[in-house]
Amino acid sequence: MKLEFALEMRISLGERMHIKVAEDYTRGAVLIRSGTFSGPGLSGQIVPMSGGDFPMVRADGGGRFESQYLLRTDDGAVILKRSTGLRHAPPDVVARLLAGEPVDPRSYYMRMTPRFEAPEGPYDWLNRSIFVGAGRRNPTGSVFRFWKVV
Amino acid sequence: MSQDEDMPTPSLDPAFELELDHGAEWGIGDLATGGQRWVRQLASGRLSGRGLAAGLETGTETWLSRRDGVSVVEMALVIQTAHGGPIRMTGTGVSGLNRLGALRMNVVFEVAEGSPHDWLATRVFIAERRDGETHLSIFEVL
Repeated sequence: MKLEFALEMRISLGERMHIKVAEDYTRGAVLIRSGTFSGPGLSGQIVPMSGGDFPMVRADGGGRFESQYLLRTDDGAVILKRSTGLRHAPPDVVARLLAGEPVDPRSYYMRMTPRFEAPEGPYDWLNRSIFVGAGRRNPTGSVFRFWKVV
Repeated sequence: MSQDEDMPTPSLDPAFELELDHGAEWGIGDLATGGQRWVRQLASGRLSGRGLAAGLETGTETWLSRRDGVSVVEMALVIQTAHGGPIRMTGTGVSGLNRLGALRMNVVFEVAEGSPHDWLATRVFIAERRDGETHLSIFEVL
């Protein structure tokens, strides 16, 4: 299997919230305010406030992402994107990320596997493939790059 | 849009082979919510690689086959290691086949904290099963 670049996404995040469900179980929540995406053959915007990321927070400060939101291509197609993934880093890097400081994205592991539900038509190739991604957390948002597994 | 040159570029590193023997199979039928559901029991199997050898305890594989020729595949299983306790593995992916066979999927492991294998829960994996084969090749996303 090989990886073929598919798209890059830049998102602006809203308030970060935590739901302390139990002493050993915390659910995070952050809505996506806005964003854009672009790659070979597709580009568009994130539908504002159409969803967000609701990670399961690890005891070491890392997280298992569970995100869901909508994309709208420049020619009007609406695509559901769902993703699971992980962020794992040494404790000092986690502390800097949580403090909103800029951190070298190579100093932590942030990978994900997005899935798409696109309408029949020019984007339905998204339905037929799996993808892997790498992420970069910035103080006010995130950058993701996704590759199609071919 | 300019690409972010500072971003790491992932690669795939072979990690495990999961040999599976399938058991009973059920066709649930056409669903009101769309698609045709199939479920297949994972009867026995063995995971090997990266210093880990484990036998299958239980598991199932289910396919939702749509009329666009795409099947959404979900797999959930438990393996038992010799010294590291049980490990749960789940996968979600797609197949271009309208029957149980070749697939590609993402893979997530759940492992007890403190287990010698707990690093599995800190990494993302994908898996592939080629048509006509019974084993899954699992790759770590570096």
